[in-house]
Amino acid sequence: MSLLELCQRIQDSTVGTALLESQYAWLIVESIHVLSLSVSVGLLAIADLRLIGLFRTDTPVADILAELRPWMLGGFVLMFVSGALLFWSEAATVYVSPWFRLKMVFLAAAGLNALIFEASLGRRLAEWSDRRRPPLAARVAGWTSLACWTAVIAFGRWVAYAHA
Amino acid sequence: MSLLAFAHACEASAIGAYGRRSSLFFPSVEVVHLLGLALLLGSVLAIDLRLLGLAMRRQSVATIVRATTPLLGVGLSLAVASGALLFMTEAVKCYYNAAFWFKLGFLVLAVLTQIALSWRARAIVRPAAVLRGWAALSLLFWFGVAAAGRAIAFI
Repeated sequence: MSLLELCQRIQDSTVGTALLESQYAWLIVESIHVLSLSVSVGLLAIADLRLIGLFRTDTPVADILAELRPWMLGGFVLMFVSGALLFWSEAATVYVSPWFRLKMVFLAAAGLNALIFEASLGRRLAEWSDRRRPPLAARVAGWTSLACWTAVIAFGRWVAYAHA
Repeated sequence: MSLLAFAHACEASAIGAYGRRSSLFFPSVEVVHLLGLALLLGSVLAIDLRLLGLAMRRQSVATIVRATTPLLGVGLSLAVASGALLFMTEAVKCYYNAAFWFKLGFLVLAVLTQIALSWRARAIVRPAAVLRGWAALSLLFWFGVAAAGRAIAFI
C-alpha cells in the first residue's frame, strides 16, 4: 500500500468522514488548532527571543524556560491533537499538497532543533543561564526555532488556499 | 457616511481591489495576521498568568508587565495593520457578518482591559483578587477575539 492509499484510507475512515461532514466539529477543532498554536508559538517566541539575547535579558534563561515550559507543552499537545484530527479528515487531500509537505519538513526541523538544544546546551544550562547574551549555539537555536515556526504557520495557512 | 457606505468605500479602494485581484495578497497578509496573533496571545498569556499567580512567580508582576508589554504592542500592531488590509478586501461581507462584530466588540473590551491592567500592574507586587479577576477576563476577551475572528470565515 502506498502512502497515498494509506492517506485515502485514513480520510475515508468513519472518524475522518464524520469529522469532515460534521456541521460544527471540524470548525471547532480547526479553531482550537489555531488558538493553541498562537499560544504555544507565542510563548515559544518569548523563550527564543531570550535565547537570542533580545528580550528580558536580566532574567536567567533557566527561569524563563522553566516558567514557560508547562504552558508551551500544554499548547503543543492541544495543537498536535487537533492537528492530527484535521489530518484524519483530509489526509489524502493534504498529502498531495506541496505546501503541506513543506510544513511537515519545517515542523520536523523545529522538533530536531529543539531536541538538539535540549540534548546539548540544555544540559549545560547552568553554565550560561545568567549570561545576557547566550553562547552562539544558543542564539542560532533561537533564530532557527523562530524561522522554522514562522515557516510552519505560513505553509500551514497556505495549504487551505492551494488545493483549490 | 454610514458604516455600510464606509465598507463599500473600503472595498472599492485601490488596496481592496488589488487584494481581490491578486491570488497571493489575502493568504500572505493572513500569515502576517496569524504571526501577529501568536506574538500577541503569547504575551497576553505571559502577563495574565503572572497576574493570576500561575506562572513566573519568581519575578515581580511589574517586571513581567514592563518586559512583555512591548512585545504585546508589536504583536497587536502587526495583527491590526494586517487585519485592516484583510478587512479592505471584503469589508461589505464583514459588515453583514455577525462574527466580525463580535470580534470587534471583544477586541475593544480586550484592549481596554489590557491597558487598565498594565497601568495598574506597574506598581504592584502581589495582585489583589480583583486584579486577578480582570486578568482572567482579559484572557477570555482575547480568546473571544481569536475565536470570533476564525468564525468570520465559517458563517
